[in-house]
Amino acid sequence: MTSLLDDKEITRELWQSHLPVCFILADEDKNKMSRSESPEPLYLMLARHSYFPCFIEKIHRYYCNYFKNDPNDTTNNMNLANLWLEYESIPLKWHYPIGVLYDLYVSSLSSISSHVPWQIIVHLSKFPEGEIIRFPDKESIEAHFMSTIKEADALKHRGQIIEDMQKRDHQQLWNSLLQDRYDGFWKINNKLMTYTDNLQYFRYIPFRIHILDKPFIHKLFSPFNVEEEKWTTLNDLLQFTLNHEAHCEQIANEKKIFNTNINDYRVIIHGIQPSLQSPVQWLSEHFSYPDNFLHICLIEKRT
Amino acid sequence: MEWKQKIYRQLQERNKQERDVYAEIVKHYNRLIENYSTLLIRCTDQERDILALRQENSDLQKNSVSLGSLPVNDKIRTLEHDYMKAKDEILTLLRERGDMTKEVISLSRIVKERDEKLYAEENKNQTLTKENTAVKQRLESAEDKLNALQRVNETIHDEFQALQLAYTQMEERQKESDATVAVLRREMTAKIEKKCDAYDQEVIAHDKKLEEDIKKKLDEARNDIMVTTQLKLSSSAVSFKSASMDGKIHLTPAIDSIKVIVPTKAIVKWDCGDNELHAIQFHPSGSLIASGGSDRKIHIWEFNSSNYHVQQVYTLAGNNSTVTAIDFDNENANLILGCSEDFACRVWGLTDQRLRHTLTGHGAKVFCAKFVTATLIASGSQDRTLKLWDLQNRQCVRTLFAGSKCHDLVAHDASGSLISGHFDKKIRFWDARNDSTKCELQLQAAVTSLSINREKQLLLACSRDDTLKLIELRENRVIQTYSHEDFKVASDTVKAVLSPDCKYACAGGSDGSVFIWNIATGKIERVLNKEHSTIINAVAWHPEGRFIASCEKQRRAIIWGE
Repeated sequence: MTSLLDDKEITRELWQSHLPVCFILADEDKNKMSRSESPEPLYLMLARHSYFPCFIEKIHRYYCNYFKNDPNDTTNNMNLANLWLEYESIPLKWHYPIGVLYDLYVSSLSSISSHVPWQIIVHLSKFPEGEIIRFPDKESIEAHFMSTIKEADALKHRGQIIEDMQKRDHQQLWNSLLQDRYDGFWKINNKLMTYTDNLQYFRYIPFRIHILDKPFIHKLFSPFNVEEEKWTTLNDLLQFTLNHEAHCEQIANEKKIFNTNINDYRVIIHGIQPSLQSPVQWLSEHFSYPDNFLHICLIEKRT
Repeated sequence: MEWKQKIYRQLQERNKQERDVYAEIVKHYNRLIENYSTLLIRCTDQERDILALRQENSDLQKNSVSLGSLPVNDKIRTLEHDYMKAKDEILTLLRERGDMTKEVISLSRIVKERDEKLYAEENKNQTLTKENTAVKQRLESAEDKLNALQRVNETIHDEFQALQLAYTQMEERQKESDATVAVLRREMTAKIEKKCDAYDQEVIAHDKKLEEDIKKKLDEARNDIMVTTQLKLSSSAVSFKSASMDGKIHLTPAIDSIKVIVPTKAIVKWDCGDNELHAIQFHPSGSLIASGGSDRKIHIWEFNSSNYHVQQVYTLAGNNSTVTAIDFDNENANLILGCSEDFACRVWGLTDQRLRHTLTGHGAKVFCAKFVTATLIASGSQDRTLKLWDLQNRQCVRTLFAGSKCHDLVAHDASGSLISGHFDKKIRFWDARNDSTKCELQLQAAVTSLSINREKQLLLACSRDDTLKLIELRENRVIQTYSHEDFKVASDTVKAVLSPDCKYACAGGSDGSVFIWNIATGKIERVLNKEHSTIINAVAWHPEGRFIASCEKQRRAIIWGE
């Protein structure tokens, strides 16, 4: 019983996690200000499981106030489509949850000791076409979110549950995410955490491993070791994934840069380092992001 | 579950670090930012307002500067002046407006009237056009009718002309035929005349022949007499020959030997017959007297004029009833005709006393019969018809319907034209060719007898109104009327006769007197009475004119003479 309560408490704690973010206008954009004062930085508390595009409008509106004289002048390129975010000269990708981005970049790249508040630079011009795609509207983010959930469900239950769900359940998932409603979200999400095929676990665990400067890694990994009849742990998952990745690298005749030693990495999920002995099944059920994926960030330990 | 606890603790730690510390700060910071921005906005607005107000103020100051140069009273006066002007303008404008509205009303009224007039005119126009179309239609129909009538007229005209041509043709043909008819008629009359002339010539020749024969005989006789004695000449000077029974011819006396004397006294009286006497007649030679009556016989008496002796010669029998009239033929055929009440006429020969013909056919009593020629007899009867009999064929050749009892008739000429007197007071003149009356003469009473003179110019009619009438036959007109106070016509068959020279008329009255009138003067010449006692039925004049024979109802016949 206490475990259940703990599960609920944990998921609630997860839902209520916010990050302080400070948005600072880029220097070159500051010069286009008409007013003498430079805009103050914008501080926002953003949910870890949310996405940046959900707040773009707020950011844009804030900075538009400082351009009252010529709001419709397109020569300044001060429109929504040209807005992009940058941290430590890395353009931030839209489609990662905020928490993932924070864990991945701040922990590894932060040159200053204090990680919070997360200082992001807002650019209103010079959109980096090659690196990131343009700001999609909210429907694109919703589509991406739903496709991620479907992918997770495909791994977990061969896609049966998400198929059986109605469209309004999908919309409730997204709206609850937008409007920060824990109960509404988990009412539907519980359906996605059920078991099928007479199994006591998911077929495969939906996870992504993020390493800096590399595309994320995802493999098929079962939560239950049928041969040894025991639950697989996070350690097992990581070990298997890293080994498999290195193997793939070898096959591709690439140089083996990949470090398969787990101890060289810090494993961060949701900003904490969970015990490596945690069962993967439990992690997937309760510790996933709202998109049902377990986003694991591996940060290299600096010596 | 250790890992779970570890996770949970780590989460809490993180949240404390990340969220809790900064949440409040960020919140407050954001609020401050908002306040600041609103303050900024308000500040800019107020700056704008201040600028505007400053501008207004400067404007007002400018205005007040310009106004402030004049003293206040003048200002008020000018203002008042402007105000009055404005008021006046307003008044005039209002007045003008009133006038305009009045004009507008009147104009609208005029427009309405004009509209009404226009509407009425349009209506009139419509009715007129309708009438016009109707009239045009009538005109067209009338023209059509006219054309048709003209055509008909032309056809009729053509027909008329054709008929006219035909008519003229017919007229010409008729003229031609008339001409031919006239030519034919002329030819026919010429032929008839020729025939008549031939007849006349024949007759004349015949007479001449007879005369020659007589002359021859006379010469023989003279020679004989001259041989024997001269005494017998004187006795036979008066009458040529006496009647004899051996068939010698009795001659009618010549005209110049007629010498009519009005008789004065009765010479001979004798009784003839057993009953009433109805008819008496002299033989044309004068020597025989025939009498007939209700004894159904005709007695023939010989009259000797020298010794005034009457002697019965013979009797003709054969009638079945009363003899009503007797006639001798004038053409020396020695025939005697007697008609009786047995509806028949009989013809005897005098020489052989033989009944020659019996003419039956009448439906009633035959009152009269006369010889037209020796072969043609006319008879009139009570059955209102006249019949002409041909003795050669022994049949009735014509029947004339008179419509009334015929009491007497005379033959006008040899062709068969008759004059008949009727019970209906009319004398009818009959044409020889057709069966209709040529002329009718109306008298005052029933005609009982007719007598015609030898020249066939005068007709004596005796009528029941006790008068005798003399009728001139050229104009069929009554010339004279003879009457006497004692002369009464007693019956329908009383006979009156003209003298042979047509100077005297004689008739018998009902009291037995014989009256003789002078034709020319119309006065009574003599009344011979005291001899007859009853009605005198018939009188007859001697052909030579010297004697009158009369017969009365009671068997007595008297010859009157000098």
